[in-house]
Amino acid sequence: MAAGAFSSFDISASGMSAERLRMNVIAHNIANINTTRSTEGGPYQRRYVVFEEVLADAGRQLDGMIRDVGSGVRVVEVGRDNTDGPQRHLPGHPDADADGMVRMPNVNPVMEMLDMMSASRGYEANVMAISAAKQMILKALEI
Amino acid sequence: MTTLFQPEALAFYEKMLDFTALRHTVISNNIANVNTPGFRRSDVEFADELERVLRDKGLAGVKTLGYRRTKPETTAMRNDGNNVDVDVEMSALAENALLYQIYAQLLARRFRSLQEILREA
Repeated sequence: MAAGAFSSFDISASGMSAERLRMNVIAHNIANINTTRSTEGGPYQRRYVVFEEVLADAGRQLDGMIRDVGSGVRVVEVGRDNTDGPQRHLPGHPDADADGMVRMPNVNPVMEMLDMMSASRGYEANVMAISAAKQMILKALEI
Repeated sequence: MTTLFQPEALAFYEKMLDFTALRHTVISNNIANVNTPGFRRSDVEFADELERVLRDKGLAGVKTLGYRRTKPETTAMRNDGNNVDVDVEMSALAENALLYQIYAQLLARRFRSLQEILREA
């Protein structure tokens, strides 16, 4: 990626799209907080995203000066948390076992809410970086 | 001998704008990786002390001044090994963006005063 005046837009945009995807996964977890049936069988297992730093191209060093310092972030994996969820006593439930216990999803609403806050703050920080870059470029146009 | 256009002064502003633009990219990268496990924040600085270059070589020396990438180790550590502190990054971002605007403004003023001189001549 070229390291021009606009490369910080790409970096911040990668951060925004990663945080947005994280937000989607959190929404998916919360939507399935009571889902006892999944395509893999058994209750829904919560999903999590794995972020990875995107490194700059090594060849991008003009006149001995640093040009590319990093190219943002990307999501490498949406993983499945395979820990067991809590059991609830619901004898009439179609998914109940012989003792009337139903295995619930391992989604913890408090954890999801915290993740959601973190994703939304991360998104906002990237938006701020873009608006600062916009101000800088507009100022440069006044020269 | 000083000339009317003072190319060294223009080069100085150019260098400062280039540096602040680069630093903005670095800070943006830190912010984009605020939730990346194991990510270590980086920063950028001049390869040599600006003050010393100005003293030894004058404004002309600034043009060839290189940059150095640093990985400052901070004590603020999270469980995931990431050391990005959003507050630090946001204040650095704001400060750097303002510096860029200051240099742009100063350069614009210089050009305007040259324009004024040419008109009066």
